[in-house]
Parts: sequence; structure tokens; C-alpha cells
Amino acid sequence: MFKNILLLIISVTAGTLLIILGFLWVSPRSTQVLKIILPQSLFSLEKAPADSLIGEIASISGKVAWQSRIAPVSILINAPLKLQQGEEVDTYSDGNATINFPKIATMSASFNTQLSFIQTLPENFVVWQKQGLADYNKNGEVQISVVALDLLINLDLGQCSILVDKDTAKVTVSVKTGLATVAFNDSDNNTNVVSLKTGDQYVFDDNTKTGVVRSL
Amino acid sequence: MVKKLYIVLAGIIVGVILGIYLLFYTSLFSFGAKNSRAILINPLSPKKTVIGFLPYWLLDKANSDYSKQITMLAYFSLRVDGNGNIQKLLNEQQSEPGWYALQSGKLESFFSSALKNNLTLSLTVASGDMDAINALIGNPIANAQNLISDLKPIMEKYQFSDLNLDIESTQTATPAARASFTQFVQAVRKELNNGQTLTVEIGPSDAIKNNLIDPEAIGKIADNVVLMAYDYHSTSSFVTGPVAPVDGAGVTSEYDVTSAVEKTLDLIPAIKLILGIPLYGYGWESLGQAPRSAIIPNTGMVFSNKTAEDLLSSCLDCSVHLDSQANEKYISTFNQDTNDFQTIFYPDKDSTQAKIDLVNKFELNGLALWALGYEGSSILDPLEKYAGR
Repeated sequence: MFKNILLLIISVTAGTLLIILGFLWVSPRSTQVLKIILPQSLFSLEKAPADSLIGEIASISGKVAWQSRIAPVSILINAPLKLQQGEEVDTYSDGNATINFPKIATMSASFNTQLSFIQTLPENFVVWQKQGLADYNKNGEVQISVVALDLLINLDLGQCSILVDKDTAKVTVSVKTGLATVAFNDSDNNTNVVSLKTGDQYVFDDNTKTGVVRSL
Repeated sequence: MVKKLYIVLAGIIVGVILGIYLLFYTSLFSFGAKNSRAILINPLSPKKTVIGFLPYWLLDKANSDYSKQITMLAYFSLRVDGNGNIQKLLNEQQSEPGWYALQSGKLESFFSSALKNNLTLSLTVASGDMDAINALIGNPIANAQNLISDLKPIMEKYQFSDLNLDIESTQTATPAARASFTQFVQAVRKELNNGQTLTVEIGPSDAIKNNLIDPEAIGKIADNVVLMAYDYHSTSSFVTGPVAPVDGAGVTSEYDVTSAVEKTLDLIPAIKLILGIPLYGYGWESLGQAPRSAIIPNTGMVFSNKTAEDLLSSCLDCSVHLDSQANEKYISTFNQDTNDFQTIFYPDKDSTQAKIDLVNKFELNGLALWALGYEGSSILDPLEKYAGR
């Protein structure tokens, strides 16, 4: 009995191998065969790259919306949720949100503010602040960059607030503590880099591509 | 003994059925996958096509003879308007530059050299104007007929035997718009003469998003499909990075060339797919030196492979680094006057070889070069061996 079962298993295996090897042998060389050999790419529309950091919308009040990586529009949320690279947080006229990326920064978005998380890699953390007011509190070593209209702001240390007024095309950077650097390309195509310290306020005019430093 | 024979016979029959099931009804061997058609219609080895695009604005920089590196010379381009007609004037005083260059005789030496060396001549018809594209697909059959009616004498006069359609739209499109575009391409294909071939350009995101171009439908119509696998970072990017990264998607990058090829091969047979590669890169200014640093807005610019080579030969402070996942090099310099960094990602001969390896790995139909005239001293060298000319 045991011998017969063994014989059956061997025969089934032989038949399976025969048909598979036969097909692979007679089929033209193609990517289809390669696909069983080669690892597939880790690309995903839904999931951010593995090296990117995951944060969270830690607290919300009023109307706050979140746009996932694959959604064409944002949706209202009523509870904290995870946040990954490629996603966006929008606050409405009565909304506020606190966003936390551990060991990177805590960000507080005031009303009518749009923050798009362009890149959350540990080497370079990049936020596109489309409009509104947000406070950035850096709590790690990673460089934080914020793009606001045509101004680049690097928060080197400490805490600063950034106000983007699309109607007047002005960006106001207020360094509450620490250091920040702002940079832009002016109308003569020259690059301007300005270092800011605690108590400095920088007002950038996106229309004229000029900026001034004031005291807070 | 007879009983054992029956057992063996039954076992083999069951094994054969199991084997067929595994081959065709599971994804284990991909025969049963959506793209199994590629294996069935691909009894030939890849053709090793190499298309060299020759834009009218690079005629002064390009060589007249690329016969060792390419198999098809594609003139870029004539512009198609919303009615399917070739645009000859920009306004009453100004000729459309692609049309003007073709008529001017400036291309004669390129074409005669190509024909002498048995290269195929291709004519690119292009549009990136969304208003024109929407009008074009509004009446796809009639507009395709208009286009071919305009093109036939031109193709005959200059001995173009391939028509290249480069209609570029990366916007999400409705199913109806996608179907209309497919109808347009189908009608263009139908109107071509026997022996003339049709090549269509697609973008890397066309295989993963519902853009205007439906790669699966176009793959059934066109003779060749060029996957323009570049501009993963460009002048409009937020961060610095490689223009055509080989790998890195899902780890550090959102998307890469290998992923785009894999996704496109789910829709288009390998025998028709041609990998478009850049002979240029981009440079940006930033406050950080590391790749993927945030860019100072409006500082991005194109750097041809030649410009990057020239820069390296004259710049003592420039250091060259390799983004190993992307398989692309970058130059990084610190500008003491402005207190910022300039980072230039650019392809070189190693990038070309990496792309050839990718084409060989997936047994694609070949490569397409954007664009002739951007090359420096050695970026095209690996193609001589690949094309075997």
C-alpha cells in the first residue's frame, strides 16, 4: 500500500515537472519566464517608500480634511490618523490640527491652512505650505525644509511660524527661537540666501521677489 | 504489475493536469497573467531598435552620422493642431520652427547619411497643447484623416517610413477621452501605407494612472511604443534627484524606470516596447548638499550630458558622486558667493549601459535617445556594442 502511494506521488510529480519543463523549453524566451526569477519592484501608489517616515495628525479641532496619496480630493476627518509622504492636511475656517513626526517636528496648522507632505525621508523632510499659518517646532536633527510660494525656508534649529498669504503673495517667517535660513531666486535670476536668528521676522514678496528682515 | 502501471499512468495524467493548472491558472509562472500574450506572439529575438530623436533646435550640435549607435533617425518634430493639420505658421510673420527646419534643407545631410547607412527615417508629429489635443480627440477619425492627408506627401518626399506620434498629456482622462485617443491612433494606423510603421510615445505614469493614453489599447495598434522613462525629477520638482533612476522605488523613491517597465509590460508586449532614455539631466540650487534636498524655487535648469562633461573638465571644486540605487551620477558644488549648493544629476555612459542591461533583462525591443546633440564624448559608446553595427 505504502509503495503504491509513493509510486503515485512520484508519478504525479513527474507528470507536473514534465508539463512545466516542456512548456518552458518550447516557449520563446520572454519576460514572462524572467518574472518568476526576478524580484518585482517595491513600487506602490498607496504606500510611501519604505525609508520615509510616518507621522500622525495627532489632534484636531473644527473642520480638518486629509488627502491620501491616491485620492483626487481631500476628505473631512474627525479623529487622529497616520500621515505619510505624499499626503496633505487642510484646515477649514474653524479648523486646527497638530501634526507630529516623532524626532522630526511638531507642526500646528491654524485655520485655512494647507500643508502638503512632499518628502518625509529622514535625510530631508520637505513640506509645501500652500497657504495659511503653521508653527514648526523642530525636535530632532533632521533638516526641515518648507516651500512657501517661491521661498524656501530651512528650519535649522528651534521654533518658527510661517504665514502664507496667497492674496497678497506674501510669506512671513517668524523665528521664535533658534535659527532658520531662507532662500529665493530674484527677478534678475540671482539666488539670495538670508540667515535668520531668534527674534527675526522675514517678509517675502512673491510678486517682486524681494524680502526684508525685521525684528519680532 | 498492471495495477502499478495504472497507478503510474494515472499519476502522470494527474501531474500533467496539475502542471497545466499551475502554468495557466495561477500567477506562479505568469503564463496565466494578463500579459501572457507577450510570450505567445514573440517568437523572435528582440530587434535591438535604437531610435535617435533629432530635434530641430539641436541641428547645430548633433553629428550628421550616428549609424554606429542608432537604427532609426527620428526627426522632431512637426506640430499637429486641433484639426489634425500640420501647423506651418506660429503667426502671420513666424513659421513653426519644426516645419521651417524641415523645409530649409538643414536636415539634408542628416537624412542622406541615414539613408546611406540603411537607417530607418522616422517623422515625429507632436503636441503638448491640451486645447489642441482635446480638439484632436473631439473628432478622432476625421482629424486622423486630415493628419495623414497632410503627412503623406511629406513622408514620401523625405522617405520617412515610420510615423512617430508624440501626443503628451499626463492629465487624468475620462474613459471616453481615452477611447477617443485610441480611435485617433487606430485611424492614423489604418491610413498609413503598407510598409510604413507607427510608433507612439507613452509616459511612465500612463501604466499606473488613467491618463489620456491607454497603453494596453495603444500597444495593440502601434508597431512600437516608446516609454519615455525620464523626468522623474525635473525643473518643477521640489527636491533634487535623478532624472531616470534605475531602481529605488518603494525604498527611497516614489517611482523608477524598472517599475515603469514592469508596469508597462503588464499591458504591452516586450517585443513592441522601446525604453526611452535621457542624454540630459537637471541642475538645481539648494541649501543642502545631499540628494533629495529641497530646491530653491525657480533655479532648475537642463544640463546636457555634454554640458556636464564640460563642467567637470573645467571645474576644480566639483565633486562627482554616484546615486547607487538610481545608477546615476551627480555633481555637487558649493557657491561661496551665494552660500548655497548646486547639484546636477546627469546620465553618462554607465547610465546608458545600465539601461541597456535593463532592456536586455526584460527583452525589450530597444532604446530611444532623447536627444541627439545632447551627448558628450562617451555616453553613446555602449550602444555601438548593443546595436552591433
